Amino acid sequence: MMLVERRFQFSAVTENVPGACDFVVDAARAAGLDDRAAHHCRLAVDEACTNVIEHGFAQASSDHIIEVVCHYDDSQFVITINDDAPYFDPTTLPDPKPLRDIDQLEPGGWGIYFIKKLMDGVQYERAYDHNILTITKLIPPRTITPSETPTIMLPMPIHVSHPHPKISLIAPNGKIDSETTKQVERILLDQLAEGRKALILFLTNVDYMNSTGMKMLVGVWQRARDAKSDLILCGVQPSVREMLHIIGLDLVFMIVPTVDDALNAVKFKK
Amino acid sequence: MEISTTEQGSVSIIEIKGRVDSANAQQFGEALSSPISGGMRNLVLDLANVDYMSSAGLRELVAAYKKTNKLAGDLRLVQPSERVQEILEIAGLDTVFRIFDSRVDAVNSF
Repeated sequence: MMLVERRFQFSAVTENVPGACDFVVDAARAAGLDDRAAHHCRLAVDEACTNVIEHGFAQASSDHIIEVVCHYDDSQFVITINDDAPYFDPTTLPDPKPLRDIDQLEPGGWGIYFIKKLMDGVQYERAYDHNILTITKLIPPRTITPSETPTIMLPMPIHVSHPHPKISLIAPNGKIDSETTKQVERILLDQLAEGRKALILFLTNVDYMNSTGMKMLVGVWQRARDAKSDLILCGVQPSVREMLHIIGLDLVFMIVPTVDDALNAVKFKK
Repeated sequence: MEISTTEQGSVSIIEIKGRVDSANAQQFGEALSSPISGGMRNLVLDLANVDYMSSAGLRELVAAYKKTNKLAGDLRLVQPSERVQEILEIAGLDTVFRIFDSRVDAVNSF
C-alpha cells in the first residue's frame, strides 16, 4: 500500500483539540485500526496537544498553529504533532510515581505517561524551531494465509515533510538494516512516484546502516537519476559515513552536513 | 458532555454523559466541586455513559476526591466503561477509588 498522508492545522486553544482528535480518529479508522486502537490515538493526541497548549504556549495563544499529520501504510499509523512553542521534550518527563497513600496523590502528570503506555512508539525531535512529537500505533496484519510466512517487522518511525512542494525531507529514526530497509525504500520511492524533484535524506537519527541499506540507497539513487531528481544525504553520523566510505559510496552520493546545505544544493529551479 | 446532579439523603449523585476532555474538564470539575461547596461531602459519580476521559478529567477527579476526603467524605464511582477503567488503571487510581457496579450500591455504601 502506498503511504497515505493527511494533515490538519488548528489554532492552539483547547477548544480546538477535540476537532483534531476527531480528525485523527477518522484517519486511524481509514488506516484499518480498530475502535480501541483509534480510541488510544484520540487519547494520545488529546494529551499531546493539551500539553503543548498548556505548557508550550502558556495557555491563550490563538495566534499559534499546531499541525497534526497522520500517515500510514499497511503496518503502522504514525501521528506527528508539530508546534512552534519553545523547546520542550515531553518524553523526558519522569513517569508518575506509584501511589502509596492519599496524601501523595498528585493530580496530574499522566498525559505523556498515557501516550507511552497506550501507543507503540513515542519520539521527540526539534527541527526548524519546531517541536515534533511522533507517535506510532502498529497496525495488526489483517489476514495471514497459512502459506504466507509472516515477517515480523518492527516499523521504524520515519518523518516525511515537504519544505517545498517539490522537495521531500525524509528523516528515518533508528537502524537501517535488513528489517527496516524495505520501509525506507518504499517511502523514498513513493516520494519519487509523487514527482518530487529532490529527496533529502536526513540521517541524523540513524546510527547504523548495513549493506542492505546501502544497496537500497544505490537503487533509489539510480531511480532518482532516471527521474531527473536529486538524492541528497545530510546529517550523516560518523558510523554510517564510515560505512559509505568503505564501500566508496561517499563519492557517488551527494552528502552535505546540514538540511540547509541540502536545500541549497537542490538543483532544480524552485 | 451532559451533567445532571441529584441528591439522595446525604449523597450527591452526579451523572455525566459523553466525553470528558481538556476542552470541558473545567466544567466537569465544577460539577464535582459545586455539591462540595454546597455542604455535601459524599459524592457518587455515575460514569456509565462516559466513553472517554483524558488526564484532564482525571485531574479533576483526583482534586474532588481529595476535597471530599478532607471533609471525611468520599467520592465513589459507578460503572466506569472499559476505556475509562483502562486509564484509571494506568494512572494507578483503580485502587484509590471505590468502584461500584450500580448507583444503588454506591449510594447505599455510605
